[in-house]
Amino acid sequence: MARLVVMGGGVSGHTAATFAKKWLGEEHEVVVVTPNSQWNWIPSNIWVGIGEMTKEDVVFPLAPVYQKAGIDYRQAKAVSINPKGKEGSDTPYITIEYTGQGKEGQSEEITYDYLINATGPKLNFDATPGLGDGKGGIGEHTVSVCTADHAVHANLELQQIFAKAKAGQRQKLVIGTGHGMCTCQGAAFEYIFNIEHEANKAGVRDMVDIRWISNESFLGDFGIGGLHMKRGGYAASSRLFAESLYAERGIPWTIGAHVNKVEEGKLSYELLDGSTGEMEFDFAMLIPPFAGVGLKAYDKDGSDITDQLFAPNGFLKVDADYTPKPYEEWKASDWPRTYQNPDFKNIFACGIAFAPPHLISKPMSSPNGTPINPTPPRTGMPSGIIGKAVAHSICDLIKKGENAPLHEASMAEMGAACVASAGKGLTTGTAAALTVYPVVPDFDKYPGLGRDLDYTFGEIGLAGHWIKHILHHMFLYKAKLKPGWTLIPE
Amino acid sequence: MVQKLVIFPDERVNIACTDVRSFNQTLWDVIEDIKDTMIEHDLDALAAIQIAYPYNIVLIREEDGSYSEYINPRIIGSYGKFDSVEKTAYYPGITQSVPRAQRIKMVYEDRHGTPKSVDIDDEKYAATLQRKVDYLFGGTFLDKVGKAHRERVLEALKNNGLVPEVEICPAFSKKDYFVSFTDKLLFVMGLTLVAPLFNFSKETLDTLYTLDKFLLPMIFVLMVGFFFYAQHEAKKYSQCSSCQIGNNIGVILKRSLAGIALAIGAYFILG
Repeated sequence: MARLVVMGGGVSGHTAATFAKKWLGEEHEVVVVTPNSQWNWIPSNIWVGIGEMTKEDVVFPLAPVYQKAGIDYRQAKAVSINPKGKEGSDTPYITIEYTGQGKEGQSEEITYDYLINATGPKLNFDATPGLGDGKGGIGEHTVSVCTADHAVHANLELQQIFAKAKAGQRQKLVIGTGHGMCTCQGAAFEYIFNIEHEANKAGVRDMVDIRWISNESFLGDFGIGGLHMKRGGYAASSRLFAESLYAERGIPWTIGAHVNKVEEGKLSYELLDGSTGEMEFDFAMLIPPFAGVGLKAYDKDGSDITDQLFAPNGFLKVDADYTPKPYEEWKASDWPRTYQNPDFKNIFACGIAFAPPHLISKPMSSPNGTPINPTPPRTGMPSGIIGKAVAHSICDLIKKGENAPLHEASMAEMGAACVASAGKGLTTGTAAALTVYPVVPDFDKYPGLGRDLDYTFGEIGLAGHWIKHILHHMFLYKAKLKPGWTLIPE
Repeated sequence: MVQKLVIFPDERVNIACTDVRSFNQTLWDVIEDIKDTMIEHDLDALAAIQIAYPYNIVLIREEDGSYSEYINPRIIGSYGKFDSVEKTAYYPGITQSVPRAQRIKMVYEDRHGTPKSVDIDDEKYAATLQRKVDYLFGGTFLDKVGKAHRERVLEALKNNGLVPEVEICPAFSKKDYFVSFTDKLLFVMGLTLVAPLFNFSKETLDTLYTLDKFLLPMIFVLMVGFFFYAQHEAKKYSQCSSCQIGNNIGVILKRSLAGIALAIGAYFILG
């Protein structure tokens, strides 16, 4: 009997664990280690953040689902990896620290034959002074929609802002990214337009000034160098559609910005040209930058080998080409295909937890040397696809032997569909539905843009909102492993 | 070398240009071509895509006759608003009032790839740069005005003999055979649901139920076939809106859902 341990139970880890268990059956063991007791469909958190959904609408308890699937569930956080075992034993293991199941604070070692790192990111609020609380949590000046609890808090604050606006006090709202190296601009994009939509519904739009601030060098970059909308036989940039949307909804923007300090009611930023500025706010939702969760790795003798296993940003090294290269030499082939660690062949990573070889958007920095550019998104559809491919590889390695060919899921050969909400409502909702192929541009295969225009599609409208709402129910259904869950694509 | 200008209705201006990644002689040659073309046509500003070179390059002729080169420009700050009255080489003979920012903050690179920045306070210069940067992302000044304005301009261009080439979209294509056959199968499935209203024997009803079980996968197979054939046609008729992937997915979803609904009905009525 082989044991697969999956660290993390988010979109990617949950996908990997559930498919692995289905394919491996009762003969082998699948263990999931995740500090959360609930699974969260993160894309719908923005609707919790405006009060259009409750926390219960976007989460469900993991324990019964894993019990039904026959997965050994440990509500714990992974602390370290010992890929070579310890003195007296060659069996690799991880050390976990329980956060629930009545064993809070207890440590335990779990041995593994195969390990998947799908821990997702650490929400690195403390990277920006004032954005965090100095202890790794969110600070008191801003809100976030990165977790369901954060979104609940964001909505409580937002409703107070609307109440003040109704009482005749003009309110300033700032939405965007809280650092120059953030990803997930899409979540902030959805949140700002949903707030604008709600402000209209509440009849307070004329009393709230809503502003956008982000590290993108152009609106609509989204960390992948922009999406494209087909026009005739050619494709225009998502910048055109994004700028019209911001202009139409009366939302001014500040881009190319690194937020370097947050205080009560005020944030400071540095722009790509080196100039600085300040922005006042009564309500601010700023996405934090992501980092690895801080897992350590130890050799057999107890020496620290974290640097061997992890990149400096804390994400796990996989089969990518990490050689530092100038922008003009970046290639699609730099991106990982199997997500297997090069040194320890029984360790894989998926979702946000794998270390990307470099950015997707053009690297940029201010004259002071501050990097200001979106980092590559590895969320949503790609993270599910990668999780499934990794699970498939490990199942083959277990069942067919260690020479079984691995399954591949390169982001440079993978398309992605993105449905970004711009307001919720059965008849008044709006969302932009866009497809991109491949996610990472391949300039050799598709000269110019690096993308295949035959698979480029973009529309904005009410139907997009319905699609987003259907996806919400569909993915929660899939994650709960209800009948036919395997038929629903990632 | 003077290059041919891209002029309406040439749709290549809709291309989202890519960033210049190599700062070498090839780039400098393109810059020279842009300059020569500007001199030839007496233009104050030109984006590389206006000579069909899809890279992020803009040249502006300064008052002293020198040329400013902006490689990979990004407008990161826009301040104030005014109505800018503009002309552009892409729409010959057209003057259009366009809402623009009065002042802009821009970062860019020079011909050697050195990052630079500039604050433009002169509203005419700022408007010119905004217009040229829009070209780099696949847009023209008509994207900044209302539909009525746009239609008036297109009418005026038509009167000047500049008529967009209309790609003939087939009224009936081979992919419609897939749809037509699928619809017939759906109709048959629907007919089987009313069979219990007649006095058919149980064996006949069982046979009809078996037929439904066979028809549903057939519909799925036809829809898969439709998808791949439609993708092939979409490449041929790039401007045909009914050929685009969104419409094709809609066709597939509608028929697949109808098939599933009829199969569920058959399960309860005949099964």
